[in-house]
Amino acid sequence: MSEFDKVKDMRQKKYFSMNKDRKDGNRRLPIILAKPERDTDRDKERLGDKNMAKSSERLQSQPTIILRTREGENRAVSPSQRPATVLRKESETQQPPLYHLAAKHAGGDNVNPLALPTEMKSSVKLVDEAFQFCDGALEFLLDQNDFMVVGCLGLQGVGKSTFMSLLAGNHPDEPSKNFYFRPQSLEHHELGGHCTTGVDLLVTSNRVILLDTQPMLSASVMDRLVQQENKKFGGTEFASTENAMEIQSLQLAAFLLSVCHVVIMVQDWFFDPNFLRFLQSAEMLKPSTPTTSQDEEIIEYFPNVLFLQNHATTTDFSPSQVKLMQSVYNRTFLRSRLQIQSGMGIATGNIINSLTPATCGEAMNLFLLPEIGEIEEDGHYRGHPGFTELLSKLRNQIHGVARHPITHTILSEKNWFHYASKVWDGVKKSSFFLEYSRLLP
Amino acid sequence: MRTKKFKLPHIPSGKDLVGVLEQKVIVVSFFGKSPYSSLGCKAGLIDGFPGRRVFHTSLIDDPDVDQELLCDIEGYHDPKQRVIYLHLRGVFDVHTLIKSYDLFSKELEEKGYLSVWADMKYRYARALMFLFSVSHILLISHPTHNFDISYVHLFRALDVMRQKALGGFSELLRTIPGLPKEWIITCRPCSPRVLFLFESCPAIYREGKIDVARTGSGSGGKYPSIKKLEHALEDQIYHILRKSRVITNISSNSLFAIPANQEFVFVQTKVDPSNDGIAHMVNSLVDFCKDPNGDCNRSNEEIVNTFSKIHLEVNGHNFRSFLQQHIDQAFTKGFDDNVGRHTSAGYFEIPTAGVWFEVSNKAYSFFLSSDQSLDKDLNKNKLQQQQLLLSSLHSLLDTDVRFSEGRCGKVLPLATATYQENLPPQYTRDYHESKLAHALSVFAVHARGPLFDQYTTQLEKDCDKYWKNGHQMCEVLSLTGNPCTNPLHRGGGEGAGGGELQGEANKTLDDPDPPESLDRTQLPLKEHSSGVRYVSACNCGRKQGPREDPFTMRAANYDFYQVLGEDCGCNHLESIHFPVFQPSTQDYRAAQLFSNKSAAGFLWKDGGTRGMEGRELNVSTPQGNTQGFSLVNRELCTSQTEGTHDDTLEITEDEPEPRCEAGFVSGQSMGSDIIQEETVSRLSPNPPRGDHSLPDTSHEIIIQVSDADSDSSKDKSLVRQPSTTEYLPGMLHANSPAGLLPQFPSWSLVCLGPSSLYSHNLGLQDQQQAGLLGGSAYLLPWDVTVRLEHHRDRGSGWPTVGDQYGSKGKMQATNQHSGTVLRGRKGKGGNKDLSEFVVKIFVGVEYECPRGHRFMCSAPDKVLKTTGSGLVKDNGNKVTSNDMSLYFPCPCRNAKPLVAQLMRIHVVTPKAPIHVTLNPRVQPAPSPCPVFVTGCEQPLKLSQSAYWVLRLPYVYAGEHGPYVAPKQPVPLNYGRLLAGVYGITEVQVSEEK
Repeated sequence: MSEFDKVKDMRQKKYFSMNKDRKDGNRRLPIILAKPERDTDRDKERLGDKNMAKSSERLQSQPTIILRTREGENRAVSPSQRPATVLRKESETQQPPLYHLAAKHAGGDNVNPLALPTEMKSSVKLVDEAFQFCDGALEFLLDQNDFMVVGCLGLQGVGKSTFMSLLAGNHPDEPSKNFYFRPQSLEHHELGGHCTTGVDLLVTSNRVILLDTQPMLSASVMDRLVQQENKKFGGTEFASTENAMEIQSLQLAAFLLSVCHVVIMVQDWFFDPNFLRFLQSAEMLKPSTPTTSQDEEIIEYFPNVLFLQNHATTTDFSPSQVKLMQSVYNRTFLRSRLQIQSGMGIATGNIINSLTPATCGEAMNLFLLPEIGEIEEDGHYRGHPGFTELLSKLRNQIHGVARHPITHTILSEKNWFHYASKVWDGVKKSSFFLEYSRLLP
Repeated sequence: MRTKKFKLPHIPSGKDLVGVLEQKVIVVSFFGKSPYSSLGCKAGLIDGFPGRRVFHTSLIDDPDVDQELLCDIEGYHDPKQRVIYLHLRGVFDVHTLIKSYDLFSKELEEKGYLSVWADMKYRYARALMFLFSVSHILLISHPTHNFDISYVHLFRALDVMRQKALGGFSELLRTIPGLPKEWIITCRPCSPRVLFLFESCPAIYREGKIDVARTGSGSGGKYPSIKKLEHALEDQIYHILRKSRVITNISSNSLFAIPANQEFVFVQTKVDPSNDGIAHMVNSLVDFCKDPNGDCNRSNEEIVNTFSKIHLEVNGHNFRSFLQQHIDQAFTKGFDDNVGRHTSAGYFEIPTAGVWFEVSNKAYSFFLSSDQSLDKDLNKNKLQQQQLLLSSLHSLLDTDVRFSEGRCGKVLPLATATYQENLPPQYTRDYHESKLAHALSVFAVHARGPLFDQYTTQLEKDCDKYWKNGHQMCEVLSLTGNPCTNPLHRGGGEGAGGGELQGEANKTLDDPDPPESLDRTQLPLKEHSSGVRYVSACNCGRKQGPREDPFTMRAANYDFYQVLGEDCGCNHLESIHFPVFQPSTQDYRAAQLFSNKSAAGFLWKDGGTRGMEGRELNVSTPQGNTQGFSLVNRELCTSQTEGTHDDTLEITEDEPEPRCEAGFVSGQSMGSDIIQEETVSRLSPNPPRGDHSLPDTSHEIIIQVSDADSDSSKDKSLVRQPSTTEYLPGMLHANSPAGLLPQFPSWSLVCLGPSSLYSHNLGLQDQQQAGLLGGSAYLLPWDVTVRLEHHRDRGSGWPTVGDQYGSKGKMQATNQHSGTVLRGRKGKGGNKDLSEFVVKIFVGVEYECPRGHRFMCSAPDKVLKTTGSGLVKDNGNKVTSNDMSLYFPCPCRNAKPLVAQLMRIHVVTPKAPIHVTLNPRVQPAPSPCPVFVTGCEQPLKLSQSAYWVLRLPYVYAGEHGPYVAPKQPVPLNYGRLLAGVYGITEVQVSEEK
């Protein structure tokens, strides 16, 4: 709350000082106009030269972001110091009032509700490496209901972060260091390592909340667990590291399946039966939505699931192959309640002319993306209109998909955040996972 | 020497292979996951070793696998290298998996992927058990460049199984002569070494076209960096496998070992063009077309072998040298992958090909053979052991289903308990269903997984069984619509009553469950009871008493009043008896009506009302020669509400007698079985007399009808002669078949005594009429102007006051109201000798609510209410001239009022030379509900100067069951006492008659 007050104060001050500035002299005016310099000046501004920061609203907010992110992380970390279970319960009971306060606060205190939200330059942590929920993302969220949550699941190195960055608006030709979600670097490749840990969050300017996760069932993550001999996940809770690994992944997946409108399953080959098994296990273990009222019939939430075939080859784009893939996924998810037919997909008929429901069977949420930056040789056959075009079409499809309400009440972005933290808590506490881990061989 | 690819189990055919079988061999096996595009072939990298392709020989290969095992193990003996290569094709290969989907389509639909995949994985694991017990080196192929940690769980399961299988398998090995003892004990030639093969690499390491572009930037760093990845992977794998105790310090104790100081990871940096077949073929063609000469420098061989590029590179990073070093070590030192101080090397055996084949066939039958009869070496006991082994392997891998099982099993008692919580001893089906739904929702919250449906059915079954097992309520609806609360029982409803409601009948029909119907015969015989009690007054209204919810018509409309009447004494009052069935024999029975229920019910509607008209006319004009008068009368009134068909009826009446009879007869026979035909015959202008070809089902009725036909014009009483062997089930209504009478009267008409009993000043006192609400305990004065027409000779022609036609009644009412109109009319037609006088009649239309509250109505929509000074301002015109609502909200409470029912009509007749007549007709529900009548042929004549009370039926029931009184207030015209109840006739006429 104090932060908001600060912002308010600063805003008020700003208007004062603007007037004053004009009276005082022109000294600062050139700085206001010097917009191109903004980026280079940013470091300077971060030092806390508030007068400078006031010159523009965008600039003014930037230092606060950074401050607050840090604060948020600290706050999140402190309770994570292995609190006793009793303590945890307390914190849980404290959560609802906190949520109310925040909502009220935002309603009452927001001086300028029309102010544009701060634009995000890169993702922030939603769930950190130690599997604690972070509050840092809250400040980027608004009190409005028109938003969409898109999550992403996949094995290691299939291109989750890259794809999510591209979905957020990065251009494939940009250097990867500019990406919203950091993709694997050469070093990661060399060490067979992973890059993303926990869950990263990014809000795009058109209010799409993107969630990128650490790789599922990853040897690299597991290796790290083994190396750290981390007591947090090891031995005590789940019988063994590999069980801990499996359960950790299942928890992340179950979390995403509970809080996203669309979950994208990224694979880079067709297909790992174990990954599909894993997905359905996560669906099975997903705790029932915690906010259902007692008397109402429980309507469990199941998100739209999109299968994304990354690094697809020309052969994959042939109608027969797409038909085969669709039929396999359809049959695999016959008994699943995940929404796999919601109008996204390569074979809807308006992506590639040859891929229509007539040639490939009824369209389902299956999309193919070729390798980024494939060198186009003159006259060579590719079978697809190119990565960039496919990507933009996919992006449109995802943005246009029917959003089923995640809970039976309408959520605003901020409400969603609190809901997500509740779900995360529920997932971590759910006895299902423990039960499941005992049955692993 | 060329050898061929073989398929296990394989018995070498000798002849040309004699030398080969003596050769000592190392066995190298390939397994792992593969993408669809590789068609299940993972051995591409070694395919070139013998100088030609062995495993993946055709581009359009579409290999099939054993349908039972979903696996296929191909082998190839390379004598030059002294290596036997085995290649496992199974469900880990997507190509095979998709093919298996067809075999499992039903299971996928019913059980879901989770359990199907577990089953498939189990079969694959059996094949792996085999490979691990016959191979020296195993290569796990990964389609990506990441170690798939799902193998960890698989290996652990395999290790557990290996330990368990040791005993059985070594016994089997003992049967092979000359096998080293240690092999028999350890059950494998050595602790196998596992190598990891990654078929793709990150794009930056990829060789090929991109590589060409990249080489300029520094190809020198290429191999070191892929080595770096390989080593990183080696570290990862080693850590993970160590941590999960798949590999241990002592290699002989674990499923396999990995070399400590040798490379065991290979990452493929070359792109196999066949993975993207279409692009490769098309683009090669395009390239060729663009520059046909460009390909000249490629040798013919190369073009042909585009798809079978043989990996014979000699540079630093190739698979052959990677594998060869392990093979070489096997031949020289053998594997010793123990770690730490354990000096004793593990057992290592290089068998001859012949011995190996023998062992492998045994192992194949042990681990993979499903057809036990083929295996004579196993006796029954061992077979069981093997089955046990395999099923435990299955359950080890079936985590998801077992989780589901555990979960559902845990929740099932919880859900059952939820169902049984707070259950009354007996309860209705509705309650059962709502409880079950609740239990199911509890179950749904906590239960999970593929067995969900199975357990849901179980839960439903359990709850249903519990309910049916002594907790089922009889649920037969009472005639007022309350279910019987007794446990399920037999009996309790008289056959005639209609109390055995459709609900129950339907239920038994719906429920094809034979056990239930069997149970029925063993159910206790018991009367129904809903536990609901009402308060009702007796016939005369002087005494009130509690009554049980009636389940039979007799109890509802007769027995209760008889019992209470005995108490009150009104049984002995002067009363008019209604026609009832008089049995002439011992074996009388209910008439069978309407074999074809639905059709009858439908046709009833229009045919019935017409029939009613016919009869009505007949009843009101018993002399026949008064028809002309009634016709005139109607024309005078110019009734507007009459339908056209009424007019036609009038006309037919004008015609000779038989026509009218036809109408009447058809009205009768409407009730008997031949509705369609009869209707037609009635409508035809000249109905053929003798054509009543009735169906053979009800003979009595035929006789009646023909009787009526033959001599109806002479003696009407014959027409009305009721059956004495069959009675009418249900109640008499306008469409009841003629000649049938009910067993008991549902109406009652008693005379309380002289008219002086009623004082309009005091109203009805409580001792006279119990339970009347204050302010409502008055009758309504009704002044009727009577005009005597003397000029008609035998004229009984009293216009019936308030005829059955509402409009007419109204007309009459206006006449009575304004003397001027009457006089004017008299003046016009003043040629008649008229004598005119006014009589005062007191009428009361009394309603009674389930709690025994009684009140009068002063209008169809108004409760009688005296003014403050206790005066009645209303008169009886409105109640006598209008339809009266049968159901009226009781004023006893405002919120959710109870529904009172019109129960009595009080009439205080005047002392004048006239009879007040009553002709009550009740339609208790909207059409097509029939109109219920008393059964008397003529309107009931009440004696002069007396207090009469007509008690209406408590429950109305037709042939199809009762018209249950509504529980909620209904529109006032829902059920009606039709206007035209009251009439006046001259005294002489009745006396004459």
